[in-house]
Amino acid sequence: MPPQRKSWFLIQVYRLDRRLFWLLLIFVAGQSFFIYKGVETVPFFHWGMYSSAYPAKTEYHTTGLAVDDSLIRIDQLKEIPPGYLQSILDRYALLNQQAFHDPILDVIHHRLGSFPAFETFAISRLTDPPNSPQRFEEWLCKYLGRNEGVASGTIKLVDCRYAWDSTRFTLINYSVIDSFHCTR
Amino acid sequence: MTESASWIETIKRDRRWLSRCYYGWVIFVMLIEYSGRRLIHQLGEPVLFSPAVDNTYWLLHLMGIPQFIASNNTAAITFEVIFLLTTASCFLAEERFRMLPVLFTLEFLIYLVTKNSIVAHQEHGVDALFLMSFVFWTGKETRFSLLLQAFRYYVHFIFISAACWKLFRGSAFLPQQMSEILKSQHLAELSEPVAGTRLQLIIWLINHPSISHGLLIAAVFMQLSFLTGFFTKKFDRWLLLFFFLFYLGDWFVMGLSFYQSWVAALVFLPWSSLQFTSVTHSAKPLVT
Repeated sequence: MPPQRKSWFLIQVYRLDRRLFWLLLIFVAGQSFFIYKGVETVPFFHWGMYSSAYPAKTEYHTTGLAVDDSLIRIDQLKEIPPGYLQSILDRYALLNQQAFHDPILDVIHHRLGSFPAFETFAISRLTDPPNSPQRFEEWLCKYLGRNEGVASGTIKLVDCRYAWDSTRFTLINYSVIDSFHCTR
Repeated sequence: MTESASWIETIKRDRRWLSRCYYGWVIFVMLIEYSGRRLIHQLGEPVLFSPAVDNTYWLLHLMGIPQFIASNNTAAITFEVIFLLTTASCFLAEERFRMLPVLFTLEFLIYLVTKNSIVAHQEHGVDALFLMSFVFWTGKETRFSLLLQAFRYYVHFIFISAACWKLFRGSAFLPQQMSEILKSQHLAELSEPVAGTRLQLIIWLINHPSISHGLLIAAVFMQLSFLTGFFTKKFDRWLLLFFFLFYLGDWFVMGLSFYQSWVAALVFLPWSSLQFTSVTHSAKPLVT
């Protein structure tokens, strides 16, 4: 038999399994569409992590927690995965700074504004309820309470400003975003 | 035995091995997540949800599923136990019960969406692990082989796509890019008195932007090298090495392990199922 020329994978699939070929084609089209849009919709993942520009700065901000005017080292809280707590605190700080106007409200209105009844339903399911600040306080106190010596008293959510001095980050100052009163 | 039957038997054997490796790895990942207190029920019924602008997240949130699981500890424990039992069942007998892998993927999707919504961050470590679950949806050997090959291309696509984003957005060409990424990534650790060789190296890289930029360029080239995988399988052993080098480097320099998706490296091994094509399907398998 003469040697057969290798053909593209999708052509192979087309010859062997027509239904799978169309499914793969739909997946490729979906992935291309979401790459073009620059957003993610599972299972069309976006692999552009760390690809946006990081300009040089003189100040670096992070959200932190303070008790009695001293900062808590979030990365040393044993009962809480530090990355998760940091993301949750960042999310609360963002909502707080925007007077709890979730940025997703604008997206919901843009997408569903023509269907007022469905928009109201979507808002109730896709955004946090109005009492979320109180519930967040309860959750934070309970969660921090699992760590020895952290949870009692007033806990402040703070925006910390740091400067890089070639050996480490030094704290310039911090401003209070919100305060929580935790009792054991 | 006919040549065609020989192929079928080989693919069946590959599938048994691959499914044991895959579902076994998922169980391992769940145990690691449990020991790191990162499972949903260990997060103490969080109250803030962030479905972002992902349509699939929206769909599940509109059905109220993530909210129900995350805000009720009993529901979270029940769901995670069911997920673990489904994974264990797939590990033991996925090839005998066709709906098990489908059920597994659906539960995995709910787990992924719920977890990412409550921690307000889309973790990419499990994405490839999640996508690999589709390979086991089929009961047909030919389709399994083709799905596995498609997933192999997808793993290559992950790296190439990551490189392209850096190149087309232009960030790979910014001299301070890596130095600034390192500052942002290690801000918490570097705001305390520094000890340890690893952090000293990070500081050195931050203070030498040209060296750290060189590291970024090397990483982009390493990601681009996966382009060869689209044309030949000849270099797959090198790509396997690059796969782990990249993730080990990511862990050492950036503190990101993505260990959940390491199982995707299986596609760089010489499985007979990966050689199955319309040209060869009537010939004998390469590995018996």
